[in-house]
Amino acid sequence: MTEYDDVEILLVEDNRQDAEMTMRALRKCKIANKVQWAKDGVEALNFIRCTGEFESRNKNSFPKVILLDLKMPRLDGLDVIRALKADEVTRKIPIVVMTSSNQERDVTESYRLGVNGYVTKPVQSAAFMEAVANIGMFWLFVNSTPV
Amino acid sequence: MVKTDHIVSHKNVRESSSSVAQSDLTVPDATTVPVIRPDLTPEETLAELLRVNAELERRLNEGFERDEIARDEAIEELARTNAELERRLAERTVERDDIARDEAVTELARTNAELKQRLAQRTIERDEIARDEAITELARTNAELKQRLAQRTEERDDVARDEALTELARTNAELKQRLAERTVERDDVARDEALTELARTNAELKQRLAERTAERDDVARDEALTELARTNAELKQRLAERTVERDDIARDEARAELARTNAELQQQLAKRTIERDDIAREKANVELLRTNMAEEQLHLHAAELEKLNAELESFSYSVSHDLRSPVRAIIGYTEAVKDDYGALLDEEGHRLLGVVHSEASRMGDLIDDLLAFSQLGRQSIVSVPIEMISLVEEVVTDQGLSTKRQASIFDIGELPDVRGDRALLRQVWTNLISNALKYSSKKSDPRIRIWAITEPTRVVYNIQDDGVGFDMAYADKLFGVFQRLHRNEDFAGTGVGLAIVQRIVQRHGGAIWAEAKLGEGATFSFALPTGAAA
Repeated sequence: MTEYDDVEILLVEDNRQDAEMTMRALRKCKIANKVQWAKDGVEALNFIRCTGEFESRNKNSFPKVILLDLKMPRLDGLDVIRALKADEVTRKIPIVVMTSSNQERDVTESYRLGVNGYVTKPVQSAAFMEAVANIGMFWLFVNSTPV
Repeated sequence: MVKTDHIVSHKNVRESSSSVAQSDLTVPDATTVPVIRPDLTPEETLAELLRVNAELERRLNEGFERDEIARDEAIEELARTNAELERRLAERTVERDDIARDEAVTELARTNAELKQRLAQRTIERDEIARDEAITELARTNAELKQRLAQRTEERDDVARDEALTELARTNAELKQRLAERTVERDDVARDEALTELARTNAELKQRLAERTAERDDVARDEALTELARTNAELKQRLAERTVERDDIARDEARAELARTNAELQQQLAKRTIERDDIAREKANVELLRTNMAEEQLHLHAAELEKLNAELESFSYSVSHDLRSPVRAIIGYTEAVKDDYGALLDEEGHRLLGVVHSEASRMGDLIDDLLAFSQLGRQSIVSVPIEMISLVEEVVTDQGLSTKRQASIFDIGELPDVRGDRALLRQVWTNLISNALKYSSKKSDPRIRIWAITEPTRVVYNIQDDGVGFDMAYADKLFGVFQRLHRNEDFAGTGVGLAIVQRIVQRHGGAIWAEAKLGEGATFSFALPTGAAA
């Protein structure tokens, strides 16, 4: 049992401010302590696959949802989706894309790869807070996933 | 006619000269003998001729060899003249005057007959068979040569004609020699005189012909030709009868040749016409090519513009996109300060923080609007039939007014349906209706009227408010991005709304315009093509 094993939300976000605001919004819903922040796609895959700095993590424990940015250095969001959906074990983890982009081709490609939601981050803080809270609450407390 | 035939014909002349039957001869009727000298009777003429012949025979025997050359030259000249005249006669006859030639031929025949009669009379006493044979042969050879000469002359083969002339002269000389040999006893002087006279006449006529030809007096020349032909008939006196028959053949051949030449010329003309057409077509092609190049350049230009436009779209999109993050952070962190440290700030601190927050929010709105506007350029239009009245009512309801207030403000008339993108046209109505509400919001009892006018090819939708209006002097700025005619303190806004409206209308192939008066409200009108969206 490590500090990572009870992670319920994996936030994959290269922008520190967006990450902080997201966690601030989640904290307001009292679920911030169960959030793991990965700064890019490589770190996200290391966490899920228990490799690299996450080697010691319990291989049978997965987050209830992944909040995934698309534009990131090293490995971008679409590549992360491809990698996770290609693996029989990790493909059932729900993924919600949270990005600044609302380009049609990003939305289309994300859904084609099998994401469970796509959210364009609102600029206005009230709207942003509300969106994050809704996503967190839904996936953590409303949704059920196959065991 | 080929050279071989020519040679054969000469051979025939020599071989057959003594084998023609006597029955071929025509014994002349004494009454038809022409009078050479009007003062002498035929009998006297004959006697005179016989006498002169006898005398000449003697002299000829002496100077035969010397005279022969001169005579041959005369004969050759005559033959050339004959050939030339013959050629012209044939040309004219073939080309345009068959009847005239037939007449000439008849005349020739008549003259020939006359002369033949005289000759027959002169030669009747001795060696008639041989001479007639020679005459017949001469006629045949002459006819042949004449035909060939006419053909060659028509073909303008000068060399061949010269050869033919030389050959004719040679043959004539040969025949002449043989004839002279036979008549040497009694005919030399008269013949020489006749030849000289004939040569002189020919020269004269030739000169006259040349003069007339130079004057291009065709009629006179034709007359001269006829005259010349008649004179020449003396030389060719034995030729006529058979020539008449052979002339028909020659004429047919000449006609055939003429037809062939015509066909050739027509073909050449057609070829030239085709060539000229080709040139004309080539020119047209060049012109077309030039036009195409211009068009292509235009296309290239358009393509370049399109590319540039796409780049601009992409630039404005990515700028808007990348601007959102920091703005979101400013707003978010301002709020965090307010939440976490609000208690530490006095009233002025809260006011300053509030300005940061509201300005950042406005910036966020501007970016979102700009983003929406830039997306309009790329978004494809999904054209569907639209029930316009329900769309407008939907938008009016969305304005969040009470039913009572809504009814007191809006007066909506008949709105014809159109085809278009429902979501985009909803945006149009949303912006126009919210504008109308916004700019008439300072009135206690505002009125907004919405109606339409159906035109032959389009429907014009209008929305009129009785708000603050605007100065028409700035009407051109109305639809520009970030262009505003009012201060933000008076009426909040980003200045993108009407630009979006205009772009949507234009993408539907329509047009938008506005009329207003400061303080008296504004009317916005947009026209959409009937039954179709671009």
